[in-house]
Amino acid sequence: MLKIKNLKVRTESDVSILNGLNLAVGPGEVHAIMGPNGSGKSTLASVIAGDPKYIITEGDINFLNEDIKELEPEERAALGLFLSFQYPIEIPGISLNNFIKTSLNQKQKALGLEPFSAKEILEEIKKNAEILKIDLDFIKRFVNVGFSGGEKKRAEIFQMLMLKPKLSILDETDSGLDIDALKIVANGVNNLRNKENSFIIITHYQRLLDYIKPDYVHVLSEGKIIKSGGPEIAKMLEENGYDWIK
Amino acid sequence: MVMTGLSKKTLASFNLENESGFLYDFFPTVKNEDWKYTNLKKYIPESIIAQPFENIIEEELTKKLEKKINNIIANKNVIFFIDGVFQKKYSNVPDGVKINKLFVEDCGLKTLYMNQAGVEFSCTDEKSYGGFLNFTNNTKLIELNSYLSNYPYVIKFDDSYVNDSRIKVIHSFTNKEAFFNQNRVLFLVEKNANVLVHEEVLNFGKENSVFNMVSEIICLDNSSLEYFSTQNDSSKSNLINSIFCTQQKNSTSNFNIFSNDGKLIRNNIQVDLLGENSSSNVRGTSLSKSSQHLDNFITISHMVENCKSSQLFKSVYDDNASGAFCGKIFVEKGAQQTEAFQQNNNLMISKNSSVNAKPQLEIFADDVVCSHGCTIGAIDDDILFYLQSRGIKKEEAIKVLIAAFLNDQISNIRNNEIKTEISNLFLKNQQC
Repeated sequence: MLKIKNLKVRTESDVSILNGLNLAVGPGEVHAIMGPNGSGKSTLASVIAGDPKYIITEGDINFLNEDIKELEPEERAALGLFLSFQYPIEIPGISLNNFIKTSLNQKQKALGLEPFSAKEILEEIKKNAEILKIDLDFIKRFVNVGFSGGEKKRAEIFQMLMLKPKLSILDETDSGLDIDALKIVANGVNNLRNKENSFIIITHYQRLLDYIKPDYVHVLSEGKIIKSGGPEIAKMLEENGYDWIK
Repeated sequence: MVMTGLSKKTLASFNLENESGFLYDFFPTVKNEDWKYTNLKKYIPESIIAQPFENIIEEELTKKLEKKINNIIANKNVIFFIDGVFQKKYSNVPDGVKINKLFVEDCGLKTLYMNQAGVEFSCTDEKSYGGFLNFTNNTKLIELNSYLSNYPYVIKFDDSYVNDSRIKVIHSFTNKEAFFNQNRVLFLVEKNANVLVHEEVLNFGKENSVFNMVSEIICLDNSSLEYFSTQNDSSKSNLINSIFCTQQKNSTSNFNIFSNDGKLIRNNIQVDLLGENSSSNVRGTSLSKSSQHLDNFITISHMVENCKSSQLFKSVYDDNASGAFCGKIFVEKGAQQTEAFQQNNNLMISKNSSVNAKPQLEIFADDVVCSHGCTIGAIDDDILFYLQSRGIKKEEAIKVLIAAFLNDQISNIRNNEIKTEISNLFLKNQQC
């Protein structure tokens, strides 16, 4: 599904962040990416989603057998990519409800499909709100404005469930969540998880992985994956820290 | 300035090319501080024709327009003017509203028709209300308006008139040629009246005309005025819209100016709070594109104690559009317990757009709460990426963000009919 080969990325101010990263995610797989602060985890997430802030100097990103390196973020989203932001952006003046409607129908349009009817969208909203235990009044509020940290993350997962992406990248969605919220968010992810849909979960903590069982765990350090393996790696990291690998 | 001795009949038609000296005398230049950011001569076509309107509109003319007019006025409370002449036939004036001419030929022309105390309209009082002299002395266009416009109409709202539904005041113009149109209306809101007025210019003729509109408004004790102006003529026309408003005790005014299309739009809004516990809120919302120019020039003067005011202007500039916001709060000596706020936010969509913002506070009392704020910014790249990552195309994302920026100005409109109209005009299909 996603194949990243020898990816090298720098910022506009010429700081190298990713230094030859390789990653392959198959359909239905859940990959966890862990690693110390500043190792390039969030950059990797943003680069896959198409953030123009970062410059790809070398390497390839293939998604569903298509080279997406040159695609606009919205084109990647239309193909089925989704990024849950580490720091979701506040947009005063537009309600979450209408933001989601716009997203959905823009995606439909890009795929050459008819827009959803208001009724279809409402039913979907109700269903997903229940999964994430979201009050319908919450959806009328402006996107992320005045949301608590937990509400912001829940709103991200809500958008993910509405957009039904093939590959979702969760960038530290667990940070700032209490245990109950963590379970709810994990439940949302597991709801979308099936043989086709894949996930990349970026996290610092083993805890989230107790609820969303990964197939693979990778350790990112200085812009490269330095270790890959099964869920046991996350447990080792939790117990011993990153020094254990070095 | 009183222009006694000048008769309309002695005025022949003139234009800039042939008698440029005469008309140019009335144009403020950029050396005038009030017009620093708007060079009027740049916008007004040289072939412009200026002449006084006739007092009669020929039936032949209205017949041609009848179908269009009927569509516009259908089932609404409307006060309809063609070339400055009130059209009873096309108007639907509710009870409690009276429309009369002020016969200036009996007494001569005045720059403003408010009497000295600012409580009624008169052309026989020797002196006019002096509160707006700072502006009218510098901007001769108001004088030119008196000179060339028809007899001003007084639209009077009786004390019994308490009505939340809208009265549309439509000023239509026929413009066979590029014409320098004048219009003068005097609104008298009697004690305790509650009024919702929506003024609009309707251009039936040549696009590159100029509209020099002047409204004088008097709000008497305990009255309430909700005023709307939608400015949406073609991108070739030029609008200079001047509003002079005096307010007496416990009166409230809300001005809402929505500017969407026009080569040049200049709004001069001057409000003098003369009676205690009066308040005024002036809001402006605009979307400027191509090479449009928008200049909002606002002054609210607190002349007595315990009055409140606010100015909130939100503007979006795209392409090569340019603009200015000059907002002044004046607090007279002794006008204690004043509360006055001003906010001006500008969203720049294109690199070639520009705006000049000039907040001014002149405060001569010591027990007041006043504030002003101004922002000029572009769309944040991180926000844009967030929307794009959700599948929203860049161009569409920009539209969404413009709608979000203007949302509070539009959702603030209490009248649902107007809210829908303005929402359609500004946000097209964009929901917030």
